Amino acid sequence: MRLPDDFSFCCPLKTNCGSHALSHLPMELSTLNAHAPLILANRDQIGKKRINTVIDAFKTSGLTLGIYDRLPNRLQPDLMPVLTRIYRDGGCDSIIAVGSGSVVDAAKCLNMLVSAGDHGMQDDSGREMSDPGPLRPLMLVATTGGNGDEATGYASDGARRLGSPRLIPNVVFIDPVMMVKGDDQDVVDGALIALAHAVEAFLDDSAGPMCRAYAHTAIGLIVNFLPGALRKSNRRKNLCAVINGQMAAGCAFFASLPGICHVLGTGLKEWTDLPRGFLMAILLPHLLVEAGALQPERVGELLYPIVGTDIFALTAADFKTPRTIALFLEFFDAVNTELVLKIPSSLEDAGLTDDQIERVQSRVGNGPADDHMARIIYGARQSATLMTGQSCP
Amino acid sequence: MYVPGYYEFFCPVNTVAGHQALEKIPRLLGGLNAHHPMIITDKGVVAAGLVDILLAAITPGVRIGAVEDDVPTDSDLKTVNRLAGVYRESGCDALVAVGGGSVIDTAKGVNVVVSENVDDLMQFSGAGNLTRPLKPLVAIPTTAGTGSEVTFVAVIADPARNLKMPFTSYFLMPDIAVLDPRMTLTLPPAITAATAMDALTHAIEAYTCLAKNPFSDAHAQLAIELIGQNLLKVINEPDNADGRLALAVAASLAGVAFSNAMVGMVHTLGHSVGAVCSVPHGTSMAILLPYGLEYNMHKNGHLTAQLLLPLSGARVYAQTPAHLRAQHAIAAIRQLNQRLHQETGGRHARFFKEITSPDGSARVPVESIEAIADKAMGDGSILYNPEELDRDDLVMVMSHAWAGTPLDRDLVKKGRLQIR
Repeated sequence: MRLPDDFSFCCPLKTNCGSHALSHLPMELSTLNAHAPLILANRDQIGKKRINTVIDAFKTSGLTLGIYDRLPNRLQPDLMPVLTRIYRDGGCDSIIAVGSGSVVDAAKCLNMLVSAGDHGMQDDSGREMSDPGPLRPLMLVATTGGNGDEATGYASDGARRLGSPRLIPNVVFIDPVMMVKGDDQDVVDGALIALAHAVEAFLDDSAGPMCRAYAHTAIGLIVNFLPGALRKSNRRKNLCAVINGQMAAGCAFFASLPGICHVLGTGLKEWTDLPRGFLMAILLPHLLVEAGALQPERVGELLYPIVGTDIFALTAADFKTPRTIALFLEFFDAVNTELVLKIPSSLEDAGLTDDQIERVQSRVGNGPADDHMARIIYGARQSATLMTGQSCP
Repeated sequence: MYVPGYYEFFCPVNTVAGHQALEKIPRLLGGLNAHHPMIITDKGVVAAGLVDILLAAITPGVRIGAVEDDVPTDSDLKTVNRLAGVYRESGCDALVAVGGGSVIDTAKGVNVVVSENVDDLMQFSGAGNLTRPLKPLVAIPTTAGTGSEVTFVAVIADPARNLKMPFTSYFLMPDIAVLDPRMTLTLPPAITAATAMDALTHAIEAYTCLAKNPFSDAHAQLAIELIGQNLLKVINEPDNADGRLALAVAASLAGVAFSNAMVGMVHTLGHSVGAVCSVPHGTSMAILLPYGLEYNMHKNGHLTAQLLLPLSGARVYAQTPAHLRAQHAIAAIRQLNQRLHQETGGRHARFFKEITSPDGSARVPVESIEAIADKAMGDGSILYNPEELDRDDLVMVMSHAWAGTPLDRDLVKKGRLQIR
C-alpha cells in the first residue's frame, strides 16, 4: 500500500451499534456532562412509537427531556428561531436528533445557533467557514431514510449551507428497535448514495489510510447487508449494518474530496424524479472502469471489502478490477430483484436526454477531470460500452 | 464480514501525518486556541536531537512555555505533579508530548491535573472519572509502536504505594497526533523491531480476539499490511523516510484498532513479564505473539488464517492450502522474528531465555514463570482472549516461550464455545 506524502484524518463521531444501543443514551450524555437534552424528530416520518422508544431509554435516568416532534420534511429557515427559543426556554444543554434528513439538519443548525450564535450560521459557499469552537453535545438516533450525510459536518437550514467538522454529531446510536419498516426504495437510495461516496473516498489518493479504513468498512457493510435488509428475515439486523455502513461512508466522504459520481449524480437529479442514489449507481461501474484504467491496483483492492480475504487473494491481479465491476453490477441486480422501481442500467433508461446530460456536464465539468467525466458519461449513457474496451469517440 | 451483536467504535483524535507534519503544529495549536505550549519529553529524545528538530519546525509560529525532559521510563505520580507545577508557573495553555508511551501517558496525567486544577491525580484513576474536555494535548510519538497517541488510557505508577494506576476516559485522548518520520529516523534497529512488533501485536490481537468489529478489523488489516511491507525494509534502510512514515501510521492504525477491540493473552502475559522481569513491552510482544495465536487456534484459526494475506501477500495465501494457512501465518511471524534477530545482530530476542541483563544474567529466570502466570491471572486483557485462560495453561505457554519451542497444541485446554 502506498501512502500519500501527507494527509490528515479526524472523525469525532462515536458509533454505538447493535442491540440495546439506545440504553446507552443517558450514559453517553452524562459522559459529556449533559443532563437536559432536547429531542428533535419528525413524527410523521418515524411514527410516535419510535419517539416513545427513545423516551423510554431515559426512564430510569431521572433526566428532564424537551421534545419537539413536529419537524417538517423540508426545513424552512424561519423554524430555526422557534427551535432556538424552545431550547433556551426549556433550559436544554444538548440535542438528540431522531431520524435523518431535515431532522438532522435542524439539529446541526440549532446546535450551531445555541452554541456559537448567529455568527456561526455564515454560509460556507465559496469560502472556508470560520471555526465556531466547541458546540453542545449532539446525539443522533439513526433510523432508516438517511444516506450517511447525518455523519458529516454539512447541514442546511433551508436557505444557508453550513460546513464544519464541529457539526458532526458526538455519538450515533444504531439500534434494531429504531429500524422503521419504511419504503425499500428510500433504503436503497440512501445506501447507494453512501456506497458511491465510500467508493470515491476509497479511491481518493490524498485521503490516507484512516479514511480508507472507514470507506472499506462502509463498502463491506452496504454491499454485504443491503440485499438482506430488503427481505423479511433478519431485516432489522441487516438494516443496522447498512446504516452503520452509511455512517462510515459519511465520515469517509467528509474527509475526502467529492468525486465525479457525487457531483454528476447531484447535477443529474435536477432533471429527473429518479432517486439520486440510483443515478449514482448507474455512474459507479463506469467510474470504476475509468479509474481502473488509471490505477488498476487501487480499484482491484475494492474487491477485498466486498468478497473478503479468500476470494480476494485467490483472484489474479489482472482480474481484480473486472471482477469488482462485475460484482457491483451483480449487487445492483440483487437489489433490483427486491424493488418495484428498478435501478436503470443507463442514463438513457433513466429518461435523461442528451441535452440534459450535456447541460449538467458543462455546468459541473470545469477542471482536469473533464476528460474522465466525459468518458464516464459516455459509458453511462447507454451502458453498452461497459467492459467491452470500446473507447470514447 | 463479521458484525457483532453490539459494538462501539470511537477515535476522535485528529491524525496529521506526513514528511512535513511537524510544521503544521502551530496552525493546529492555533485551531485549538492554544499558543503557549509546554513540551514534555525524555532525555533520550532530547539526546537524539528530536526536540531540536521539533523546535526548529514550530518556533516560528509558537512561543514555547517550557521544555521538560525529566520523564522516567515508567510514568509516575511524582513526575506528573512536578510537571503540572511547571505548567502552571510557566502560564502554559497546551501540552505537546514528544516521546514513547511513558511520555505520552505522563502528559495525559499532567493534563488531568492542570485541567481539573487539582493536586491529587489519583482521585481520577479508574474508568470514566473525567467529565469535561481537558487542555489541548498534541502527541508526537517517537517510537512506532504503542499507539498511545490515539488511545484513551494512561498508566501512572504510584511508587509510594507500589501501584500502577490505570486511567481511562475519552477525555484523555490527545486532540492531535502528529506522525512525522523525522521523529523515528534515528530509532536503533532493535528498538524499531520491538516497537513495530508491539504494533503488529495490537493489530493482530484486535483482529483475532473477542471484541472485534468491522471498523477495528479494517484498521487492523491496514496496520498489519503496512508493517508486513515495511518493517524489514526499514531495518535494512534505517533512513527510509517513507518506510518510517508507514510504520508510524501503522502503529496509529493498530492503536485505534486495539483501543476499540481490546487485546488478548499475548498482552495478558506480556504485561506480567514486564512487571515481574522488567522486559521491554515490545520484546515480550514479539516473543509471545506466535504463542498466543497458536494457543487460540482451535477457537479463531479461521481469523489467524486470514492474517497470512497481509503478512505474506496474495500469492503465498493462494498457494497455501486452506487448512494450513493459520499455521503458515504463525510461521510467518516466527520467520519475521528470526529475520529481525539476524538483521539486528542478535539484539531482537526470539524467546525469553535469550534476553540478558547488562551484567549477563538471565533477565527472565525460568523460576519466574510461576510468578508471571500468577500475575497474569489478574490482568484485565484476560477477558477478551478467545479461549478461557487458566494458570496451568499460562505456565505451559510461558515455558515454551521461554525455551523457544513450539507449543504442543494437544495439551491446550479446549473450551467448547466456538467463535463465528
